[in-house]
Amino acid sequence: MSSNNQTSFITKYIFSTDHKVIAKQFMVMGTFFLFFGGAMAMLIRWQLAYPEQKVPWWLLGFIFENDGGIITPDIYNQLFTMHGTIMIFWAITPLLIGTFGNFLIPLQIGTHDMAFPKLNMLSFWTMFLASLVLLSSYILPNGAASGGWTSYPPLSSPSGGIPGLGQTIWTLALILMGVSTMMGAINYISTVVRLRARGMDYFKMPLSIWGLFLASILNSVFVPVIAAGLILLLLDQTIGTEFFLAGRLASGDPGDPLLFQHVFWIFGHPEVYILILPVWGIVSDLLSVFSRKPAYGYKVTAIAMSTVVALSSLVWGHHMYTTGMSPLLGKSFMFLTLLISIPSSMFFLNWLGTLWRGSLHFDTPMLFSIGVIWVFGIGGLTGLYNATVTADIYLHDTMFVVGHFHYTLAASVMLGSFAAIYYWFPCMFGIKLDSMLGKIHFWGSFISLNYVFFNMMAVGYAGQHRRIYNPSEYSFLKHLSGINEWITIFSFILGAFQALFLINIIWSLFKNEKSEKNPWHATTLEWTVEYPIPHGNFIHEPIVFNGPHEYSRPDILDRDWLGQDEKEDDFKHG
Amino acid sequence: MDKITIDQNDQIVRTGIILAMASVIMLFGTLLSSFFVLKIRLVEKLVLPGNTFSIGLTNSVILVCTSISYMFAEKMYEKRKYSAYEIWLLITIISGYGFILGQLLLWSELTTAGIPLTRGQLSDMFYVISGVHGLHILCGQGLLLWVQLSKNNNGRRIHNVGLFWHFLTILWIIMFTTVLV
Repeated sequence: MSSNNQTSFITKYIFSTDHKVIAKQFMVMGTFFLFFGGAMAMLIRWQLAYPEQKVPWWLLGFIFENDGGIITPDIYNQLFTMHGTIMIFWAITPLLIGTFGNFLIPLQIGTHDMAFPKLNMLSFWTMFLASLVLLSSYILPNGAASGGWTSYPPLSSPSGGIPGLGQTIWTLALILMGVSTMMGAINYISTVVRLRARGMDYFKMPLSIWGLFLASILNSVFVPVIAAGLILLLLDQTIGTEFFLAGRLASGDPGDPLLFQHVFWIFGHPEVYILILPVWGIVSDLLSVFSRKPAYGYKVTAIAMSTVVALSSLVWGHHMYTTGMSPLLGKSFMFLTLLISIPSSMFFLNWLGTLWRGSLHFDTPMLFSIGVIWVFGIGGLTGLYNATVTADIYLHDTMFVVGHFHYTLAASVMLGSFAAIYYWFPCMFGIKLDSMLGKIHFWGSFISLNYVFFNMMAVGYAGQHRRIYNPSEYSFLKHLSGINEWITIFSFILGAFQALFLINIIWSLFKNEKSEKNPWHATTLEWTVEYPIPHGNFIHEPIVFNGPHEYSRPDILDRDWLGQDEKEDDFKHG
Repeated sequence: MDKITIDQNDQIVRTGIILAMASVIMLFGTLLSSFFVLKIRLVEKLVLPGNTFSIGLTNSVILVCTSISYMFAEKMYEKRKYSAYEIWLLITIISGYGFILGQLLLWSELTTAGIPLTRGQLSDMFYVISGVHGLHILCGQGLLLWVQLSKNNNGRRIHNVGLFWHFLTILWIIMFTTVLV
């Protein structure tokens, strides 16, 4: 269908329609923004621990020279706004859905490419345009957006809101990002539905594909919702409509600021599952590979993840308990939210079941996967407090919430992405990443991120609001300055250990030791092709006989795994 | 790798179009429910001045006609009457532009009748919904032009494009009846 003889540099590496090249493009972009957003997190922490002190040179203090070397309140607001926006939409989404969605879906289901290769290319370049638009807001006189990543009106409204064009540019960039995500999602779903290899039933797909597939379904359904909300917001900001303006801000009849919150969270809650679903899938698969055991309760895991997807669309109200919601509605949302813990704990127990009495191999990807179990466990359990109306009214908008969603989103997703990168690096680049550096990277990140995020919950429980500029200004927060300082120190350690990841990539590429084919002895189809994988992937369409986790079968004698495209009879003796 | 057959390709395209339709439904669903949330809240009602209602009604009839003429085009293609097919397709495209012009006329009529953009949330919402729908109609027009200009057409592609075009018609009828009537 597609021509496989692309020769010029531009068509091969820049405007490529090959899903593997697009995956690498997304990976470069996602990694860039991961470090960009991470640097902003360091600056936020600097301000919280050493309020209004000169930013040191190793935190790029020269940027703030015009403001006397300190982080001013305006800049602080921009920092946490852009940190959230960039990490969610420009780092995690490209790293997981962009990179591994593109790379894994065609290879693991055994097809030549995406269903719509040109749409795939368009999706990346729309995203690229969106990032240029977003970054352009930094050169505005009033700086970038600063209404928080949620950008509720009237903060994001033109009158009474934040001055300058930053908020408008933010809205525009997010609309473009949404268009790109929608194109990607339609592509991924069509590919999974229509292009699975012969024999690849839905219940023979690796769980990574299940996670990516379900995330794409949520994307295609709920990104249009926020797109509609953002279109209305953009019109409010540019031509002067008043959909979300009320009170003294509205010139005539009042609009409805709460309407935006509803629209935002109808999308926003599924969005957090969009971010975490690929990780759930990838971790389920990797635990099985490195335990040399079939994934415990494979079908239950797949169905439980689908149940979470269905429930996730009914729980957005738990972000809005403090908006004066009727108690009956609050209780309903609480009930539905707590219901999610049932399917979540089902696949969580399945992960533990996979590990149980397995032959554990503690390679780098396995360490990161086990790390995900720990941080997702804590993140999930603290979610129960936020889901309960009575507890949440106290905890709402405190650092407790920040700690909670950094455990579920930042920590789980970061460790999950690293697990995936360490695991699939040989398949993508033909090289294994150095395992010693990888393990140091894991332990450094794991210990420091637990320190950072757990203590965030502690200061939140003590009453520190999530967005205040200077906690030492308030007498009831003064005694927290020590713990705030320690959180900051550990967040710098966390940041420093991420440099190890870049060093590892550069070091391994420099050493250039070719990895053997299928270094992890995995069963899935992407390991059946020799690196470099040609445009078009498979020479012959693979035929699938087995499920994705055929490890340690007692009836197979020579080795402890059976590929998805291998007939079991060929490996039995007798 | 084995070539993908036309049959398979057709199925893939249809899946993509159905998914796109689901996304578009969510987009307009959100706009429509926002409209109703504001409508319940506001005292002011959306009263249509003068002949704007009849212009809107005429536009809707034109859009329904484009769908019917596209059906005729499809029928003619199946019967291999290619010249008749070309004519019906041309009628579809021209009346599609007629619809867009009609919408612009409706906008200017609303403006002169004292309901310009940014006057009130309900009328603004009508502008937004018809504007976003108009953008989708322009995309649909692009697809129709692509069908008309491409040399290697087949019945399936014509059917798939038709699926999207009829969808836009139905969408407009729903919007028109709920927002303006």
